Amino acid sequence: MNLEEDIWIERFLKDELSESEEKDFRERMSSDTEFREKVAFERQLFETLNQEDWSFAETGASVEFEAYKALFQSDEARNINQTISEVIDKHQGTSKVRNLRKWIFYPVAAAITLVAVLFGVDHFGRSSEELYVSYLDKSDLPSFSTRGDDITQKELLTAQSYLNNKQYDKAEPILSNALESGYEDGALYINLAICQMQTQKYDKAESTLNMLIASNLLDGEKGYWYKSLLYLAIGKTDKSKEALNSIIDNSYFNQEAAKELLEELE
Amino acid sequence: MILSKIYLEALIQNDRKRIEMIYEECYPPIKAFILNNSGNQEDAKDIFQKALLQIAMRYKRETFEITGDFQIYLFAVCRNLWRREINKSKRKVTNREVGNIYIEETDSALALLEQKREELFTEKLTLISENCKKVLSLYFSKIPYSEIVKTLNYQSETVVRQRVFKCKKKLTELIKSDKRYLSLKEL
Repeated sequence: MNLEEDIWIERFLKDELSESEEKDFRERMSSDTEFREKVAFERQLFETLNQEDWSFAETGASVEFEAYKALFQSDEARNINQTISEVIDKHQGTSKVRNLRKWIFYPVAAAITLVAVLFGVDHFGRSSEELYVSYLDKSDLPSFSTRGDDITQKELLTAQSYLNNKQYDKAEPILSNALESGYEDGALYINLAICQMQTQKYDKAESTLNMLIASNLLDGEKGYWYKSLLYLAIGKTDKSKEALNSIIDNSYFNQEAAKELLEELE
Repeated sequence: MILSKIYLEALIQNDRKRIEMIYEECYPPIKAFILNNSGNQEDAKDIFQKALLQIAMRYKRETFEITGDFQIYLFAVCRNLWRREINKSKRKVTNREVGNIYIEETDSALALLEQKREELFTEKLTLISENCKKVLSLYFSKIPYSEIVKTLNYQSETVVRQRVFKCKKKLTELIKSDKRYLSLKEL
């Protein structure tokens, strides 16, 4: 394949061809088997190696497919599937109880708030620390990418477990080591900064977030949001507002939440 | 990794006790990943179950080896199954679908072969030069050429375009020269 053909295929896959260009392209595909196969392969490459897409099989016509289909239809597969299902259900019974407790808590909290409002209790004008806790709680924490060597991946999964259990002091050194060993990932920076904030290492959290903002990572702009929360944690409301205004002016990540938080601060 | 082999054997032998160990060790980060990526508890359970069955059936047929940690491999399979699930809604209806409902075993077999293809492509990506890896990582992430120029300090978009072409050619050669590609070619 030459460069021109490669560009043509790329433009087709990105929907960049004009109507007449696309017509010519499709005519070539219908009459040229080799070209059609090249397009199919390029599409597979794109969809597989782009983390947002997935490359679906166009056809199940192969010996291997038939063999696997037969395996999945076998009694053996059904029995294994049944066991896996029972194991999951057995453990999910425990977590359902935990979830139930959580779902009792929130309506009660809401009821208390409603009563406070009805009786004229001012539940706005929250302290900066309360706002920090509230908005951090609402933020969806990103997951780590799983590219990297095996040791780093295993350590990051351990850190993820600690984070899920809010054991920030245990997660922090793992994440810090991963960063120092050159593992570049936006989620890593964010989760490390949160660990540092939650363990009152505010200077380190600020450095971590500045590194994220300065990096070439796509998650870089998220650093502003978490910096705004950091400044709330340490009572620097003016600096928090500065970060929030940057988010709003540049349409960075979490713009709507930034507007809402800025309104509360003002 | 010996533990990987133990877990693989446990799956095809339907060893409940060891499957419980796999659940306790591996489920929490997988659940966290799916909940953090637009999924719910039911999705997490479903994906975990499908992933384990997929691995079991693949090991049954191929006796393949997991060179790294089982937990990490299982996480990768779950992540890909979730990617697949999220992208299903973007797909056009093909003539394989009957009333928009797949026979589950057909879907499972296809998902397994798609996973094998993903592993092959990803593996070959690690074999190209560092520079090619960087260029192609940005390219496949749909970063515009103008931004790739800035990020990697190239002179122009034309230079980036040529680099992408050469790196993709190298990657393609590596993929197509692997015998595993022959069995996946028909997909």
